[in-house]
Amino acid sequence: MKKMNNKGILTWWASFAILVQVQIGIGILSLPRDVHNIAEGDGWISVLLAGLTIQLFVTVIWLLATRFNSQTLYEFAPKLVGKYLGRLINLAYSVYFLSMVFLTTLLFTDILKRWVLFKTPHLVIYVLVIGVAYYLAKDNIKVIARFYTFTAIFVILLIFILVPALVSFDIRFVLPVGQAGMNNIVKGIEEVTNSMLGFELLLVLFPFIDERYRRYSIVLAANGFVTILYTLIVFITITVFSPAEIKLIPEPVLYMLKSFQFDLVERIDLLFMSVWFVSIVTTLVMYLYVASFGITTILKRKSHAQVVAWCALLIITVLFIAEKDIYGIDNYVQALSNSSYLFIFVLPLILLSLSFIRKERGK
Amino acid sequence: MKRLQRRLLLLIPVMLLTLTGCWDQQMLKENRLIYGIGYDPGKDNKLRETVVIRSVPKDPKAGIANEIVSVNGTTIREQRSLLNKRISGDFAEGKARMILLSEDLAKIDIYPFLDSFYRDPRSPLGAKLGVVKGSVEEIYRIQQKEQTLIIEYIEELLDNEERNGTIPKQSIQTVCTQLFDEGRDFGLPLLRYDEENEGVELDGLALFNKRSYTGENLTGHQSKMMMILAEERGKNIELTFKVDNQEKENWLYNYVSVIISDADTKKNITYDASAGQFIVDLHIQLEVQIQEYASDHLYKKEKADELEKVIKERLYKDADEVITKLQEVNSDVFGYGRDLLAYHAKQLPERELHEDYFKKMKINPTFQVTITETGGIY
Repeated sequence: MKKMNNKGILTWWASFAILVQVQIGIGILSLPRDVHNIAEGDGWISVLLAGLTIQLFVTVIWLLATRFNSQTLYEFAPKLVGKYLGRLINLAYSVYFLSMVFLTTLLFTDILKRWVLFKTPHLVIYVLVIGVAYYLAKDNIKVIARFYTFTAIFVILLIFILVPALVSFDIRFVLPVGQAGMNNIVKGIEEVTNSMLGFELLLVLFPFIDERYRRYSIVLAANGFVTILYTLIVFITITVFSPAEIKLIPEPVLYMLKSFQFDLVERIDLLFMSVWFVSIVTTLVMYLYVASFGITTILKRKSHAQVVAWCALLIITVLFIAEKDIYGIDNYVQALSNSSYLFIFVLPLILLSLSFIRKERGK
Repeated sequence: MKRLQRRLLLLIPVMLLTLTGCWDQQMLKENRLIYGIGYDPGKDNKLRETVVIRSVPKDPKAGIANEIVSVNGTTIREQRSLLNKRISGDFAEGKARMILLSEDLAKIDIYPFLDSFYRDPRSPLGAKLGVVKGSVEEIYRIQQKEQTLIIEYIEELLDNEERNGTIPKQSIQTVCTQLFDEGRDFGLPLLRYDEENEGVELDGLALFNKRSYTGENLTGHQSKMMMILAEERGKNIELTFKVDNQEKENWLYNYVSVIISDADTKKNITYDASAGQFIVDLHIQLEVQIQEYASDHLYKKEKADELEKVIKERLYKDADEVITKLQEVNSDVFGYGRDLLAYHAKQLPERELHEDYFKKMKINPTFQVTITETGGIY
């Protein structure tokens, strides 16, 4: 099979770039507010702790994946739990990955429509966003990885765009540290984890990483980087807005950027959005690729390119009939974030213990 | 090759039709750019809104001019539609530089006038906000001061005073943060129509408590004192003090003008448990340059020391006046409430700020003044 040839081709940098950019997604725009609602001025601590929690999840996935060194989840799941149950798991994961594409596009379009393209119909934005994702996801992992290595530059750009915030910075908004109480800080972790999803793709992507590298170091570095970046963004945003104000603003990061004014440039939130679009696309592409990869395995097809096209069409159709008001979107977010724990933690843990019990491991 | 060409022939028209982005264009020629917005109380419980519209003539030689339109309406949205009926083209407030409120409206609540700005992503959050003694319409109807159009004129005036340290640097966005901060109040520039010079005059700082104008103002001098006390700005503030009472005929000799070249403020907040009171100790060290002092020359150290002492006394007296005034109207422009929440939350009853926390605080400023330069002469 052709796809077997691709295994072990990703370098350290390419895998790092992929993991970081998949994890950075739509969530960060609204994260400071969401986490502030629960953990108040201590939201940034929640982000740090969420990073640690995710490291725990990732370790479980890593342990599982290293046991089946050169096999993806789709290949080893049937071996562990039997053919039919294995297929069911594969299907469930594929649907989960597809619904992540669905939700990310829905949220992105919602923000785009509220901030920039007021009159453009939803469908046009869907087609354009999914179209871009399709264009890349239909290629093989080598091509995708090259793109990710290149777009890693934009992540660095995102950090610089936050520098002007340091002018209207008031540290007193986060003091005293621990004001919300340990309970609320822990509750905040849940909120943050939803914005940092993406690491679960490792279940499928792991065998593509070159074995010669210490693979855990990549996973650790990527998650560490995202955690620090998110903590920084949340910290800055919480110190720029007063506590009662931030509760009213759905996307504090964009709002903050909008309020910066320079002599030459106004509305840097729009500039930010254009750069941000790359981050969204990178998330979409990987989810779409991995989902269609799974369906290809289930259907025992040779090439995944056609499946990607069908998946893209399916998502656009579902998007078209989905509810688009803010409360409807919130329902989807809740439903998916609740079920995500099954896929990022529960299932990998069950599979891992099964593989220990049945002493099953790949070569 | 032929197949590719045929495919492209099909693809290109489709792409051309879908990728033009024609839904969200905003043509400059269809929009009327609003540069300034003002609200006055109108007759019969109505609001009177006055807008300054920048009209760009088709002939570039004709120069840019203003168009002033006023309407009476009940709500802000209703006024928008009334305005749209009176101007050619669409109402576009994305470039607004100035929002002025009449003092009578500001005394009620300023938030309703700003709400739509915070909601609309196209709105200019860097626009300046001000309170007007009298009528806003009167000010906007000046149209232009010499060669400068009215909005630019007021904007430059405010910019300049911000640089001089007379008023704090404010925009709609910074006000928003303070509007929603329970531990901080703010002041907005108070403007007035200057009949004598047919212009606009900055009359001081209008003090706010929560969302409404208290009706009390700081004068320009007091406002500068406030800025020094608030640690917001120390440097380059110019102050004039009356230091003598002797010369009756030549009264100009009684004054000294100094400019602050360096300011260093140490703030210490303590809690007096027996009195249940927070005490703010401010220790302010100033280095000043003499700008104008006609009565004497300072080549003797003793003379300079004496003058330093007098300036110090004046500073204390003025600071005390400012603090008394601020506490009377409960306007915490220093943001001490935020300090209490951040560093002294344990001593606050139920960890929350009471309505009159600022009134109950005790604020003790102490000054230290050093004359470092006297300019070209002693």
